[in-house]
Amino acid sequence: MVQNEIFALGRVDSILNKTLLLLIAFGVAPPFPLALAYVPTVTSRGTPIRWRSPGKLNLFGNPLNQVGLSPSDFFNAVLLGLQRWKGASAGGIDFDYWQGTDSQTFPPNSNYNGVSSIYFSSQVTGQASRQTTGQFANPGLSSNVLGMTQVWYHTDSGEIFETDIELNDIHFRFTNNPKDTSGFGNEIFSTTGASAEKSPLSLSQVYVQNVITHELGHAFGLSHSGGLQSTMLFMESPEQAHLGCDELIGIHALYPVSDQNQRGTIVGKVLTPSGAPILGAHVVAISQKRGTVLATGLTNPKGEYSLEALEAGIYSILVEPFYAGPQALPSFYSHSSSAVCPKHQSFSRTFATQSDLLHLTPIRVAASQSTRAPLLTLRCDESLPTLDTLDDPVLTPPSGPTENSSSFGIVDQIKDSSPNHYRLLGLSGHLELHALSYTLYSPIKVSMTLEGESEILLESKTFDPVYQGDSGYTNHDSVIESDHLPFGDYTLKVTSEPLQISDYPAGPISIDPLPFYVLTGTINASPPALTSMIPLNTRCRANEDFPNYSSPHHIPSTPSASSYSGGGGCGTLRSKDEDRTRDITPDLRQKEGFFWTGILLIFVCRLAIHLHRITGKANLKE
Amino acid sequence: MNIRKCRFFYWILLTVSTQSQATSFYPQPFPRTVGQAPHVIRGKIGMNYSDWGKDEGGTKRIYTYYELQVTEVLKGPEKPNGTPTVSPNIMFREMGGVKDGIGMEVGGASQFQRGEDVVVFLRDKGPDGFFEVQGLMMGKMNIQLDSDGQEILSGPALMTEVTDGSHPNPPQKWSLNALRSLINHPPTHSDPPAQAAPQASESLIPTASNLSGPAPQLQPQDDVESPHRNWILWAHRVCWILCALSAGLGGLILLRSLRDGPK
Repeated sequence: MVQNEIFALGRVDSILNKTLLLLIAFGVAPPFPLALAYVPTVTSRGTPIRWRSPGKLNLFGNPLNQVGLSPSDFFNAVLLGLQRWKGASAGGIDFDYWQGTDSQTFPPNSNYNGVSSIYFSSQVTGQASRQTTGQFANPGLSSNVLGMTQVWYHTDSGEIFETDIELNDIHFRFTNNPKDTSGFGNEIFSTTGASAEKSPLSLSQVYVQNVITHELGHAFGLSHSGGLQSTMLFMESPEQAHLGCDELIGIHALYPVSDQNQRGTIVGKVLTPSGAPILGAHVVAISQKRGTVLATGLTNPKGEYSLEALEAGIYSILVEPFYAGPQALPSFYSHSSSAVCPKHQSFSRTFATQSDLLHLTPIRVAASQSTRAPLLTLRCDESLPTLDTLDDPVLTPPSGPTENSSSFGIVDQIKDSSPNHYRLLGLSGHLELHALSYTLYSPIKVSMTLEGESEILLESKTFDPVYQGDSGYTNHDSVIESDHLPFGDYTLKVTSEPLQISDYPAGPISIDPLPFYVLTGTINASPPALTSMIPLNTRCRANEDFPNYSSPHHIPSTPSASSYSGGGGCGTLRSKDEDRTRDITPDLRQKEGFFWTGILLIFVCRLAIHLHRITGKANLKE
Repeated sequence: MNIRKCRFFYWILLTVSTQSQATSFYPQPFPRTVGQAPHVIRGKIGMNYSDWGKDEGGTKRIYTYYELQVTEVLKGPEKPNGTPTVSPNIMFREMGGVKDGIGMEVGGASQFQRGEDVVVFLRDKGPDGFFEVQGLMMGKMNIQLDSDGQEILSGPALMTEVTDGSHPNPPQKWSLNALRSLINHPPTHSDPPAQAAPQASESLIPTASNLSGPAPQLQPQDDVESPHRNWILWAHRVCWILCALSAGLGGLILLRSLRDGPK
């Protein structure tokens, strides 16, 4: 028996770690779950943290705040956030939401009390001390933290028991204006050029739905993402209120539903230049058909990844550092590092390419199947081969008798600001060309022009920008689409212009020094398989015509805070209603700890004496 | 009995477990982050453990408590006598952890590894008598050596720092010397610090030559953990030492018995 205080001490942790190392040395390696698509919140052993299936969140909101957000606006913001996640999951998760100002029923705190709460910081008790000390009751919520989600979970199974969301209305003014965002990535910011030109007043205003939708993602078990268009991006950014492609895939992977048989998986492995597996590398799956980043994930300690719940189709894989660093991730990734190159340099964005290092390796994902991507070794050089003169066409008509479409994907870079040209031979029908640079954090915006034998094709539609949100966010990627392309040979011209740091959500941290882009194209391809679930636009933004919702009249009874103040035995959450709670305060636990220490001491002494007696008797017999 | 068994299995299964995750962060200029931290301390991370604790508002959470072996106090209350004194170690805490079979994941909480050389931004001691990390992961900086041997800071708080607003250069590098200078010579704005507009940090990066003496230090009595808290840790250590002595004594008795034979 070991008392519960002792094993938590660092010295003992060290002993335990050594014990585990010994176990590993003897071949009893702990199993590492395959890192999932999207970035999940995981336990320290890698088990995904999620609600018991089917996931149901009963959330209690307290709308009182000091920034003038009305209760109805708050209700709508929370409800919309919940409906977005529920809608994206297609039944994998559900919710009920109640709102009120009675602090007993709607406690404005993050206590472990069996009540999942969402509330504002200003309503937390202890304002008096805050006023006297000039500090904020919750030390985490400083002036660069908009909101915080606590997730209480079972350490073994990863099942979520409770989640509490606190919104920082001490430092920020929450509004209903989508244009009120942190600055990076929206047009208001871009026009002023630099963050220094934003006024302090506008700095403090934030669109409440951006924050709530993001925090609810955490409440359902998702962690931070590195995808530029992701709601779960580690930094507040425009359009975060609307779930991105990565979230639509991630919530399905975390809470599988009946349409799983229409989805497939990419598994693969990533090695450092020295051949060692890498933990926490950010894997990005680009759908060739959609021409957008559809999903992201992280590698596990074995360097393996698994991008699940993917739509069937052809994908390209890119691996990059998780630029926010392990701090933004669960502790499972705390030992991850991208500094695997000489002189402690970080590795460069690395694509899964064919031997010419230009053509992206097509990874074909079929429904209900798992496709293994080629082993990928990270590169350290900051340059890419270029297609200065490409003799072979990048896109040709379907060649085999069984094929009725063809596609391509290449990665290239702009050199000396001069345009690149690509040949497309003998094409007719429906053509789609996508150039991705912006969403991959390349520092350029690329534009495409499709030219026939003599003149620019007017029949094609050029989408520039490909997406623009009501927040002012602009996606600077490029698309050309032609429904009825006349038969002929064509030349695609790609030009570029530089973008500013301020154009990129999350700012400069993720921007690549290399002006590269990914070009994908399809001819006569059928529409993507899951357009009903994953909307066909570059951000996968869905229509938000959700059904009307009213909170149920019956509010489920919750255990009182005093009887739910922590504890629980042997990893089982115990509620008052089920008479399974042990109300143990930390002070009592400390005393209990000393009791067990004493017992241990006595046990060791008695063992020594017992052994002494045994050996004494044995010697006597001899 | 079940509890005993469970504790045993915990002892076997659990490892150091600090949690993080789940927060909306807002980009803010580094000088502002520094200006808002009451304490900026460099040190080496020692032992850690997780336990229940309360914040000022009375909210009860699981925290992970860290020992910090202080090597430099860059910012803190001024000393009354000007004598530079650095206490050997302090304890601070960060939200999140595992306790009693329950995990608490907290948004973007900073994580510390034993032996890490870090600069931490701490707020004043809370009701439990511990310093607390300010701003979650924004309150932790790692220290790396650049190619010139200069100590460079790295951490999420710097990820939106830019050299200028127009060109996608790498993020601005902040040296430890620059941080010292920033603390000693905070930027003077007409705005209060909390409202200071973000600006390129280039103008705030000093050279080593314009550093003016050591950074203010914490008062010794403040940064040493109160005996009220330390005795618990020491009591644990003493218990373990007693256990080890008991085991050793038992072993010695056993060996002597085997060696001496029957009497």
